[in-house]
Amino acid sequence: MSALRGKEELRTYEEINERIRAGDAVVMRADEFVEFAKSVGIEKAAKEVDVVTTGTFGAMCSSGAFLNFGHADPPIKMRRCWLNEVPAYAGLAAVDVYLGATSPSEDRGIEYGGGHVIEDLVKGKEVHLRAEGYGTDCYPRRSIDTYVGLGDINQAILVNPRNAYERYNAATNSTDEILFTYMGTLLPDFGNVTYSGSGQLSPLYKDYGLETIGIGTRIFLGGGVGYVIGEGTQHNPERRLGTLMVRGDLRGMSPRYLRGATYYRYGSTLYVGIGIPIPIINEKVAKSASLSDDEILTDLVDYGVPSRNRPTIRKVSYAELRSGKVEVGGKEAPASSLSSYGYALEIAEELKLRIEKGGFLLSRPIEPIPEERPFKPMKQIEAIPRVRDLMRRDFKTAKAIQSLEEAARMMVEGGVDHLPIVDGSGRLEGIVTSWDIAKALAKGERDLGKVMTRDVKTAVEDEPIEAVAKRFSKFGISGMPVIDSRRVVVGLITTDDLAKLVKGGDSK
Amino acid sequence: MKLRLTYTPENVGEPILSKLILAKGLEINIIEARISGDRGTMIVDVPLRRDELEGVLGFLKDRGVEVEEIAFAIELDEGKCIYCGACVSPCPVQAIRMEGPRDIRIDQDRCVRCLICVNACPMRAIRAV
Repeated sequence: MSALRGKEELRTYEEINERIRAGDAVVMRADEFVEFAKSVGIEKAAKEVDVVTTGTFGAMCSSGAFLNFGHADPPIKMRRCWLNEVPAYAGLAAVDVYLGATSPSEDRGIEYGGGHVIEDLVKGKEVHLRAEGYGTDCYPRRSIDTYVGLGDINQAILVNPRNAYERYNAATNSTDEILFTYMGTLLPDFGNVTYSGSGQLSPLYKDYGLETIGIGTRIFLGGGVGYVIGEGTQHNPERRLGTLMVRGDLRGMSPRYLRGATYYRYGSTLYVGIGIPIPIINEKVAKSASLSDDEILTDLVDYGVPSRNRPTIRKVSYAELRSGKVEVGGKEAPASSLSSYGYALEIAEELKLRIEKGGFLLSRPIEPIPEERPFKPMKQIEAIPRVRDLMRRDFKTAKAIQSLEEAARMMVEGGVDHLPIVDGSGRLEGIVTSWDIAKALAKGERDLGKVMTRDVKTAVEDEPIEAVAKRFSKFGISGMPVIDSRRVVVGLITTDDLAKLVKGGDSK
Repeated sequence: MKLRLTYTPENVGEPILSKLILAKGLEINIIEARISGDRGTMIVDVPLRRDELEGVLGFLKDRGVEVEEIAFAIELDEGKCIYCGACVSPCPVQAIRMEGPRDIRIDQDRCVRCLICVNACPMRAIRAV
């Protein structure tokens, strides 16, 4: 950690707060500051502006609330607890629970989850509380059934383990099926691009050096006041994927900036509104705060590959994403956001007004959050067989101009039922199976190019076998060419190869 | 104009729509077709002026096809919408556009009733009516 981080060279927190109290602090939204710095230069902009406000409003699954209901009479030690039929974690003291945003309800599934309960509480609604206990000498009661609202309970504290991602992957889909993901609906064949994050308004990106955002930073959270309480889970600042853990009292928050949501065929979540004031304490901070959408890049990732290591197609800027059109797969695909830029702007503006009116003071972090943190994959003790472990490398291919007889001979000699058809540079054009050949002979067809299937299902080397097996059964096929990123055929995988797993010993 | 055509066991085997296209020179877009051996329904988009409608209706009715104009709209609940854009790029016919940070427009004429947007909306702010 750099000892120089957070150096108050241009102004101190005390000076800024004095100006806020006096009503003459110069505050700009991050988008305004981008333009201002562009026109007057970074040095002058840094001198003139005290605070830059940021905002983001998006799905933040790692969110939830600690609730304390007070004691029943006779008292109960809750072992299991439901709020509007959404299970909350009760492995805490007697009447403390943690309600997670993605917890689905037992009656309505993901259409109504923990995020929706939190929104309903903030809206002032009563929620149905049901709990079971096992009965002890001090907590004899075994069940409870009642209704509670925010006014009835002791604490309702939003504590979100991972919020405000600095930026996030943009998503697209190379496969020929529509996908329903946490990145929204992805049309087949690079049909669209979705993304998340507010780019030039993104709180963490506007202070990517983590000069001013640290433990104890006062923030706008869900319409109320909150605090940064540390790095978020999966915090990965070196890759510009920093995250924050935040807390704030649900009382005082607004249902406008805290909304339950459902991602179709994925799950429920909570949209959280966060705004962080960035005090311009030195020029480094000013520089990061002045970054515009076209300077903020993210990875365009293929969510069609169901593996942890989804391939990055290319870098894309938030400016390109926000233009609504992104070039991918050799064409222009419509792009749209999952988080709300309109609300992010509104939050940055609201925070700016609160500061200008003297109602929101800035706080110096009592401890910085780490600027480096290794990001590890899960340690797994079972070996995950992948396509590369089972695929054949000694396969045969043919060209579309070859005859049916030649193809048949190659298949018989090779003892295979699948023959990928490739172009001059080995790129996949189609596939023929022994069944295709039988059919073609029955019909008197002679031309391999006409017989082959062009819409070929494919696999990649890194894919887990499980995903491939799923596709075999889904499409009723028995073999797939394994291709690389340029569609060059590098192997062949068939249901026979999968059988090796069961037999054991036969695989490499 | 979107029409729902209902075929009966008597006429389901006839290429009535093709005949209509040839007879009237229309560019018809089939949005949805459910045809089984003995019956069928189709939803078609026909670029028609009101004064051309009668002729088309007559043509179809003469051949035993029931025709019904369908009023269909995608409704956006402005109170629930957060202008995120989750519905915009998944629309396969680009009938939903974002005109500004707080401005989402739905082009009802382009809509093909696929309902992808209804499901894609995380706020459940879109309804098909």
